[in-house]
Amino acid sequence: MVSLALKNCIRNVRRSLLTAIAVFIAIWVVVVMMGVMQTVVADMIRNNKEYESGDIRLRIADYSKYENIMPLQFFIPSVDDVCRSVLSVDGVRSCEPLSRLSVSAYRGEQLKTIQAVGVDTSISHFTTGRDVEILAGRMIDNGKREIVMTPKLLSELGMEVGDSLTILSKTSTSGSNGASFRIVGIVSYGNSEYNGDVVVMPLDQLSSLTRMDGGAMEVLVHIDPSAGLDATIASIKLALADPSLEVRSWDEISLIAPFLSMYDITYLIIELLFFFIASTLIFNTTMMSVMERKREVSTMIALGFSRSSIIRLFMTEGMIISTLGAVAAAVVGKATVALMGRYGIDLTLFGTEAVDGWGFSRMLYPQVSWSTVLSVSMICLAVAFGATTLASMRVRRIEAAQALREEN
Amino acid sequence: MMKRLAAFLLMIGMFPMSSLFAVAAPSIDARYIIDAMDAAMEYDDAAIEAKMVNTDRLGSTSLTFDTFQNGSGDTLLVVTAGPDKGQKILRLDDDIYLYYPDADEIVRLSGSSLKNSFLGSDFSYEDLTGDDDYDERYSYTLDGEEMLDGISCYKMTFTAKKLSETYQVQEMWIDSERFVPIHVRLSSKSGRSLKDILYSDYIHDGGIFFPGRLEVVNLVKKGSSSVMTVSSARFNVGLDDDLFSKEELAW
Repeated sequence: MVSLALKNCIRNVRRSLLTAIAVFIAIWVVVVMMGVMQTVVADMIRNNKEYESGDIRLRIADYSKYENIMPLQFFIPSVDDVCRSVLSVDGVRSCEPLSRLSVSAYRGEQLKTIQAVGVDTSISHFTTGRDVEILAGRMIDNGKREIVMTPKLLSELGMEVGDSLTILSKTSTSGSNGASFRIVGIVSYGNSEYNGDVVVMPLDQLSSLTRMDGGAMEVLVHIDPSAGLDATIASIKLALADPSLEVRSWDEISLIAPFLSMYDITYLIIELLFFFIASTLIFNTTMMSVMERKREVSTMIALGFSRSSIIRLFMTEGMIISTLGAVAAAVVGKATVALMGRYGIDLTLFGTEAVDGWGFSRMLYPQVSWSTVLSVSMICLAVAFGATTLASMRVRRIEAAQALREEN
Repeated sequence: MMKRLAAFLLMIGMFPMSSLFAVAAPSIDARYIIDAMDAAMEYDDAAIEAKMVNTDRLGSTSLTFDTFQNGSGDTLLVVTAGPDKGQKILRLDDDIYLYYPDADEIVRLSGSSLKNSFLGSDFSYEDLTGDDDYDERYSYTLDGEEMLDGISCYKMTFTAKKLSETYQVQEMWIDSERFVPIHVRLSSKSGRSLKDILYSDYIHDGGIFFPGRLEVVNLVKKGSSSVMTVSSARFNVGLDDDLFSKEELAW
């Protein structure tokens, strides 16, 4: 039956090609789309952990409670002690004290609101991350009153590397303070969220500006991938034994985490949409095949073929064509994503506003696993099987004698 | 001579009136009361040492400062103790200049930045600026006499002539014997009360009255208030005008 079905497939090449192309496009589009979308989501999660929350974030609980009024008095005073305790917990990879707050840059008798990030320059992702690019000058050093800033902010302020910028800030003692910082470098961050009005300075300097006495607003903890998040949080709480400290996992505090499940639903909807379109095409071409071959079907019935065997024949034809389309789409789809992953997609080509503020990188390097490609192909083939089966059922309604008369 | 030290010491409601009212009216009316209040608090220059405690629902902070004011109303404030020690604030006419020990330049505040909190208190820098000629800015009426904390007071209401005024309505209770303010309530145009200012423990030195304690209660931010206590007040000491220059600020 398979050899007969194969022969039938090449009897009407154009129709077979149409069915194969429908399956090909559906699978190819979904594979590429999933490659891009999964990479975007993974990128957002990674950026969120590296720049925003770590795997686990520590804060004074009252800071979170009154966060809307930026209550700087609730800083973590002894971050070194806290980090020592945290690092003693199994599975903890790094402990990074960090402060970030809105400050004012004084330039030309005007105050401009910007974000200041204070980091330990020896360990922070803001200074040592693989996606941090120094465009000019150098990176900041701990203990020096210096800053790096983004090209956008530098341009807006009309300043250059080597200039001095005065920054004013609210302090932890409810007053205000000001200090001048030397601009030592221009940087670009992988996380587009930080490529706007942002300056990065040594944590000790921001701590001095805000009168936190060496403290920090939060501590980001990164853990080994094999370490369990909940178990590590429990161990950290035990090690710290400080009820005033809030210990929370990244997905509890992340703004994107609640939307991650929505991404899965979006995938599914788009996937189903494409497969539905493909299935209608497969259904129609199979149906046309059945209708055009009424006389042939009638002859086969007259020769003693059962209707169910003829249905199986049509189904086999449909599945051969669909499988060929699916295999081609899987290979080409995987190759397309691999190519995009190799050279990257520069999202700024769609305009910087398309990426800034969304928390994902300006350059995306999509990847898709073979298992994803295989599952997409299998789902599409299942849809194709359903469409072919439905269309092939038309054979049951063919009146053999009448069909033979009509054909004559 | 106009006096602005009162404004600098957060006594927004206690607006020193122009000496235009040199001739006292024969009967008690609104203008007479203001004229008498101006006379009771008039001085050529002043040097004040004070402590301010700012409290909000999350805790309190304190600082001490010295304030100097010359006859033109130019004012210099130097923080002498507390976390912000060394900071200076200079008011020259409507301009506010800030000196921070770690900054390479003097910061001049303008525009919306004047709305920032002044030394963490419930007043903004904007409250310290503006033309002191309240006769042009407000119309006022004498509402009558009331007892306030056992003190007989004249109750007056000031209504802003321009919409740009931060406080559209100011109610003032003035001691009917000493002609000094006891209580000022600042309100918005809609009538919403914004701040209460309470004056007490008046220092009486050489015929000049000066409040020894001043409390500002923020009626919008629950639990937020500032209390200023004067530890020393000297008047007509002959301050050098060079003290009030931007060039001197960094020294």
